[in-house]
Amino acid sequence: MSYAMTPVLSQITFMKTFLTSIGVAALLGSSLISATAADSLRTDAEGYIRDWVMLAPIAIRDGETCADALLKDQIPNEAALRPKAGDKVKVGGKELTWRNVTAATNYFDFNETLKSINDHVAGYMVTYVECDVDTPDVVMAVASNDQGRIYFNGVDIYAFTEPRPLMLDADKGKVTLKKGTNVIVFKVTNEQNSWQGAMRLMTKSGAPLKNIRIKLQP
Amino acid sequence: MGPRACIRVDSCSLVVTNAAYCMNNTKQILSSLITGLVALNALAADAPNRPLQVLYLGETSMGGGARSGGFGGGRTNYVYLPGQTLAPEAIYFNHRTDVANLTDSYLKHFDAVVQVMPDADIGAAQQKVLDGFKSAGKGLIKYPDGQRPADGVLREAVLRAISKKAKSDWEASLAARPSLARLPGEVPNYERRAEPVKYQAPLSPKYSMRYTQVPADFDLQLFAAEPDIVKPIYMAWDELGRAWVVEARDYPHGLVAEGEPGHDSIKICEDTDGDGRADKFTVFADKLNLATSMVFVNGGILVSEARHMLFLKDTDGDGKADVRQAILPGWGTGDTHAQQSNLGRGFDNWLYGAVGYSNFRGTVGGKDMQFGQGVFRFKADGSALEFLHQYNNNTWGFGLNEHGDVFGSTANGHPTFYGYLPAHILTPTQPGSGRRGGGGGGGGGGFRPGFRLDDKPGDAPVAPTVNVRRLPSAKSLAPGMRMHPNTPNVRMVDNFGGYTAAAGHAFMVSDALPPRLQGKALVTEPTAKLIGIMDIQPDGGGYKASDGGNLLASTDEWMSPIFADVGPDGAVWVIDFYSFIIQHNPTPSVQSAGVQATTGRGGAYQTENNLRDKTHGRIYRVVWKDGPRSPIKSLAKTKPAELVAALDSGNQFWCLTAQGLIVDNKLTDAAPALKKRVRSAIGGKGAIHALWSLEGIGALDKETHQAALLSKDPAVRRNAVRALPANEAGRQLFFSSSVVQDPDLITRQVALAKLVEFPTIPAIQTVVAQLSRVPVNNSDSFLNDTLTLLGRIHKVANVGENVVTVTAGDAKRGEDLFLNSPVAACASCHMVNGKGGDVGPILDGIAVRADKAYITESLMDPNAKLAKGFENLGISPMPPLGVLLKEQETADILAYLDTLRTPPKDGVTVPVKRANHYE
Repeated sequence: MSYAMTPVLSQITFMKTFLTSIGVAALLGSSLISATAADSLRTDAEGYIRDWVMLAPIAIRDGETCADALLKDQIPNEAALRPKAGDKVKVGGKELTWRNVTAATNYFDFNETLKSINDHVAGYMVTYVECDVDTPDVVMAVASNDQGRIYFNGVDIYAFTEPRPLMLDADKGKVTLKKGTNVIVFKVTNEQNSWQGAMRLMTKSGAPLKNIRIKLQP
Repeated sequence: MGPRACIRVDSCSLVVTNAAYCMNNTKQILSSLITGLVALNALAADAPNRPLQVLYLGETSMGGGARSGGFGGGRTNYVYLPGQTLAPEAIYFNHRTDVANLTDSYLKHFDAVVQVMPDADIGAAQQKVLDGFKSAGKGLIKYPDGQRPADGVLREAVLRAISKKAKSDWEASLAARPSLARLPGEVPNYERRAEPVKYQAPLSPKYSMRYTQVPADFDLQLFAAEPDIVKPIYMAWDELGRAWVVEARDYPHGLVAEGEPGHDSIKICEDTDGDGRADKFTVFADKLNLATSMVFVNGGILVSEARHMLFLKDTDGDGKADVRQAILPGWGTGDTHAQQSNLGRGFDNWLYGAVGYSNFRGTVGGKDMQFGQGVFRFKADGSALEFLHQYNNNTWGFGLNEHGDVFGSTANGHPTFYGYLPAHILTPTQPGSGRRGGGGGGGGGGFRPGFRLDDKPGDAPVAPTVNVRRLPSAKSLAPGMRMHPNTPNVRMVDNFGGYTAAAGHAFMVSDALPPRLQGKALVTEPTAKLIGIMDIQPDGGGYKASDGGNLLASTDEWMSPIFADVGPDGAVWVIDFYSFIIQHNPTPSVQSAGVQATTGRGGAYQTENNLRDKTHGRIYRVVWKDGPRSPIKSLAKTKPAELVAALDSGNQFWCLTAQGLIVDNKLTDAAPALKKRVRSAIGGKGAIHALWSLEGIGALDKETHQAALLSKDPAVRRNAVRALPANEAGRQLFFSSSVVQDPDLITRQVALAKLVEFPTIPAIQTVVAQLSRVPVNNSDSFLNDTLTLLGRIHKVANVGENVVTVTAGDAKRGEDLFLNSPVAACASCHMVNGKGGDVGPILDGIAVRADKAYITESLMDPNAKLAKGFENLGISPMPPLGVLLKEQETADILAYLDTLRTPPKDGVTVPVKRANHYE
């Protein structure tokens, strides 16, 4: 973890780390941490994005596979999602609310956050990556448990359609971060048991990407 | 109405007045005939079974008897033969359109011949045979104008034409047969009959056989029955020729927790005194759960049961399994009639099976896998599993013809399909689902082109996928084929008149069966109480199929053939599950079927007065009267040379058994004889099995393999191609022959499919590009599909038909498809302007009450949202049109549906009960 931060930021980071270490980050993530840090978040020391805006759980229809649900919009025009905490969406007759989440570890865990086990479901994590300059050849490493799909600045760049356990950095691709705000929509469907995902941004050499900031609203 | 209340039959002669035999009264008359036998029964002693056998020469679709509806209305409209009308009184019609090989020895089995074709089409020589038949006192009835009369008239003509003795014997036989008694019980009435079919009382095997037709030159012989065997579902024979039977007591609701004992078993059934009946029954293994099939391997058996495959072996010789080892976990149990089943040995020394929509989901060899609805193969130790050929729906059939080509059947509407492209290679290249494979992390997809680490500058950032053609891994050979039942009381839930519970796909390759049946496939159909014959013939780079009639059909509504295969004696062995209720799902409701039921565990419906049988089950043999038995009786403790000789057996069972023994026991001593057999000039199936035996024992050398690739027998060349390893040595051997230009197009297709497996190198890319310049490779659909896949795999542009051009939908074409497509068969279930079936929603006004996205989804994925009023179905009976139709055809149907903008006058979109056509 870098300590070359402004005093205020390092204080917030310390608070997150502390809360994480005592296991209450997930409980407080959506309210305390995110509310205070929404505009000044960073990736963690290894480059993992821990701060997301979450919408879940979305029940997948009986008879439809998670893979099919992954490849089909669960809410209209999911590639273009630009949510913030508190936004409400009606899905399958049920109203869901976007909420801020800070992962306790380098991966996010829907079930842990929701405090319930959810099978045959879909969920979204959205984050906003601020970059000062156009940055090509950024390595994006991702993992999902089970299926995962990623839209980067509205472009469908990734889909993994089979069930699997979480394997950090399971797949790696490359993206170009544009100057300004970059939007990442990470959709994860879950067949049974654990429902998780992880993403980090690195340089070509594998070093965590610096000089980027995370936001939780567009 | 009681069974005795409507007798209108002259109890002395069983002659019914012609006037009574108009079609409008057919149902009533039939009812009389069946129930009237109750009275006659008292008059007769136990006369021998003596049906009347009639040979029908001509097209079944011709003649005045053709009808537009069926018994109970349009939902029971089958291919028109007199089976439903006359078979119930044991007047059995055998159908031939081919008259070239009529012989005295064949005709001797018939009482009458009905010729519905001009004499000129018969030919002078065959006419002479028929004249001889008539001179012998048999009946010859001619309708040379091709116009067949109504069934009642036909019946009278037959009874007038046959000998007096035949008639009196038949009458005595009928009189000795008990009637089909009816009992209380809730029976779903999806057919919307005015008077629902009533629950029939079961018959003993002896009397069930008297209601069951087999070809006139065959005998139906009972091998085993309850209580010795109960609910048999599958069987296989060991090298001693003993029948091993899987008993399925747990089906359908009996799924138990993992590790808990079930109630299914494997029973060895032996005929120790040679009288044709099993007299010794040994339980090899019990406490199995939802067992569906078994296969012999490595000195034991593998059983498909809930969740996994189970290896069972008897190591101490007491006839009972003392080794139980579960392998390949991950088979779904969500629906207990969609599990893995139909295990068998492939020519290629893999084990094969079929799985329905309960799917497989698990990890094999460190690789996550998920698939369903098709044929798969696996290694006996569970180290490898490959999904081979997908069709749709519930796949219950797997079979190999004498060349080792892979076929299957799927329950609903597609009783035969041919697998020609490997799904596990094809699937990652498919549009949409194409991203499900080929990426990192275990084959489930990954970053798209333009976002991959190894992308080069200029790679397309996002490849369009919408117009990429969806390639099939299997082709349905007889979509929409109709059935020929022998009962008017067929109870179905959908695809009325067509196959809806097709199971099995065994080929008749037997030296104990007549030439006319060789190479044809058997598909059982328990809802229609029959075993259909698929006449499968080469067609370019693949196969086509036509209706081959029945091998067996019953009027006993309990008879439920679910397995048919050639046994050690060369006869066809049949499992009769013997259950009046055979339907698994959907769950009937008052609205859909007049009966309210609930969905039980495993997805099968259940009613309060549960009519699902748990105590019956029979095994029959269908034996050719005029033929020999297969000469081999046993291959136990046989020397290698004799096993090699058995590879040439006329009975495919013994060929595969001999190969299995050579491979499982690693009989390398047999290698010289095997090589000699492969290299012999005669080719044939002995060479094919010798080739695979060598492969199985690791003794297939380059020279022998090359000789097979250059064999004069295209089927040997085909198997030699299949046996090539997907490495450099294999590639070199491949190109040492000319199989890519093989004159036998099926072999050529197999060769092109093999090319898919080799790693991409420039030389192969050149070959692929060149192949596209050969016209037949483009014009033949099997070759074109393969070429298209080659282009995708080896990244060669503009070969095959990779991109499909879909123009704006044509409503006129769409209407034609809606009304007439035998595959989509829309109008058989949906009504428009008051015409069509009443299975699904009325579609008048669909364009204004649903948006295009909904309609499209309904066509492509009928289960996505069940239409209002049909929610209780649980699963849509409609096939996904994306699998069945070309993209343009789907667009055309969509365009037609978009014209349906006038809602029904009464606003009702759920069809109401319709009037019986015969009322």
